[in-house]
Amino acid sequence: MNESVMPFGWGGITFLVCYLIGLLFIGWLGGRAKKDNSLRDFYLGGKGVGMVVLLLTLYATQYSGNTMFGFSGKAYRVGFSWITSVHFMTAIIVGYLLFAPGLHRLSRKHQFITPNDFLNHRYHHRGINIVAPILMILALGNYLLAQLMAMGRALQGLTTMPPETAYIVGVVLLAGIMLVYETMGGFRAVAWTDVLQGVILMIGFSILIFLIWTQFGGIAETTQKLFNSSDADRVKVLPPDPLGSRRWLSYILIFGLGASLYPQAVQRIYAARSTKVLRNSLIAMVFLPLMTSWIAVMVGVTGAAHFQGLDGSQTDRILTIICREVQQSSTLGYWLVVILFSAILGALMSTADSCMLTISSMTTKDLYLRFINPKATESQLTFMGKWLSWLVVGILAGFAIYLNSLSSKPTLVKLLDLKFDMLVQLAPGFMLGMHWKRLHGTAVFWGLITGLCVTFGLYSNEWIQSTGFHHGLFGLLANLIVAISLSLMPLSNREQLCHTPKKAA
Amino acid sequence: MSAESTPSSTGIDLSGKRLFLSWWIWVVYSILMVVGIPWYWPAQYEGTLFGLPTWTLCSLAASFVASCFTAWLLMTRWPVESVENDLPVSEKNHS
Repeated sequence: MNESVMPFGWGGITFLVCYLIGLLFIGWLGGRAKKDNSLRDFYLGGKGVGMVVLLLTLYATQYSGNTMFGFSGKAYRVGFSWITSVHFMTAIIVGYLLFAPGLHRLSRKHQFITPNDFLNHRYHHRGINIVAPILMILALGNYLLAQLMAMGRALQGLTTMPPETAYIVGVVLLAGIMLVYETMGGFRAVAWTDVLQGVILMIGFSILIFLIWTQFGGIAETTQKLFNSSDADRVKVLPPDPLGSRRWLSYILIFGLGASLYPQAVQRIYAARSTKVLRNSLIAMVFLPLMTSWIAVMVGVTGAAHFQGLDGSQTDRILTIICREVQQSSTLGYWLVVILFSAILGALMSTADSCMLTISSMTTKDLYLRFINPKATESQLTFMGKWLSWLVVGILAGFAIYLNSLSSKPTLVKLLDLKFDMLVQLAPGFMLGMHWKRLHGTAVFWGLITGLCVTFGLYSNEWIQSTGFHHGLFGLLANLIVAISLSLMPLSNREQLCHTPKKAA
Repeated sequence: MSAESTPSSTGIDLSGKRLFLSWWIWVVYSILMVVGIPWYWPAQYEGTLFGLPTWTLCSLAASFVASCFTAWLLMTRWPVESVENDLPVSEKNHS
């Protein structure tokens, strides 16, 4: 039998089915709690959520399939150096310091729903209103795709079905359940299911730590085993080389500036019931990387010591391989893995449903309402948003199945990187724009365009890759130079620049 | 820091948002980053502490300090605003 497969018996399958039905039930409850047919009610849960729900929805949204599969897979490949992930997940909360207090206050005053509502309020610039939502939808689409692929891979490890069939069933079944509960309850369903998923995720990470200690002799044994291995594996316990250190710095910067602008996280800043709720949730969030990313790293490193020889996208399955080993050891191990697997599904689905809801809100409000049908009513928009979710997920699920059929499958961390290269280009508009009055819409727009051109123009540049820094950071540098230079330009020149297209027309 | 509203030329209220922009805050984060990224350890360093490579523990300690520092900043520098400030513009006009 394939060692990355851990088929569940009827007991485990029944538990998982109950868990998935529970998610649907919560979605139904979310639908019953609906106050009206407004966009704010559907996408932000009306007047907002309290501390426990906000914390768990932020947690379940930010820690995803990438954390469970991608981070453990990357730690398998590079070793302890991937505690980079602990640093960059902390950097996300530090990034919030630059804009979250102001954004939350403005969102309460002006009833923002989508991230672009702030940009529109701040700059009133048509170009930004077109490019920024499209950029965020593409970045989130990429993230949603990664979650769907991880769902397929998760089910591949669960059954004895042919791997290709199991992958398709995983993608279609789990995405379908998500769509149903989201359609019923909108943000409430997503946030409330996140509470269940967040709790199970926390239990899952605790179980992982327990398993590593009991099943594989603890981290000390793992460290020694790797020190005594061949050079290729020994390097996984040594400090990173200069290139690795630069990459480490690059991850901190791109996550601190890019991941803090996750559109679904920005919407949770809006959805906080009060400043106190948001502040206290962020205080709790800042300690969670030490309890989640670090555990994922230990799983990957333990796998590197005990299951050598995996490479490429196979390494993203290391968690499944470890689970299978534990599952076969005892009845207790079996049930621990069942709960852990529920946590994995929770991590995947909670992130994917948040992405889906945010994509739907941005497409409906930022693009359809603003540019196509400004006279649409709120209930029409809410109805349209629900069906847009089905369309988007349908297309991405098809793409996820196509990507799995390729001989060279992309790893989860590679997909993650692409998203941040794009999102980080919005940092000047949000972070600088929150504090610097002189920054204006035309400057932000051309900075954004320049940043994107530089990022994608340099994508295959070997020198850039050899520096260890993300392409997006070079784009951001160009973006900042353009945005600041244009904003500092004397007013007469600036007016000429702003009005030239109109005159030409 | 003043929390009064002073709309800018763009019409947006930018006051009261510079809670975390003091230079020393970002100096502290920079120092923690320099300590946390293990660039200064010898390439073949094999020392361990509590079963982990020493450089790993050092890096994790820097991350823990950064978390504590951030929590402290959030607690002490982000005032919990009045309910009035949290109200939508439309509701304020009615009241």
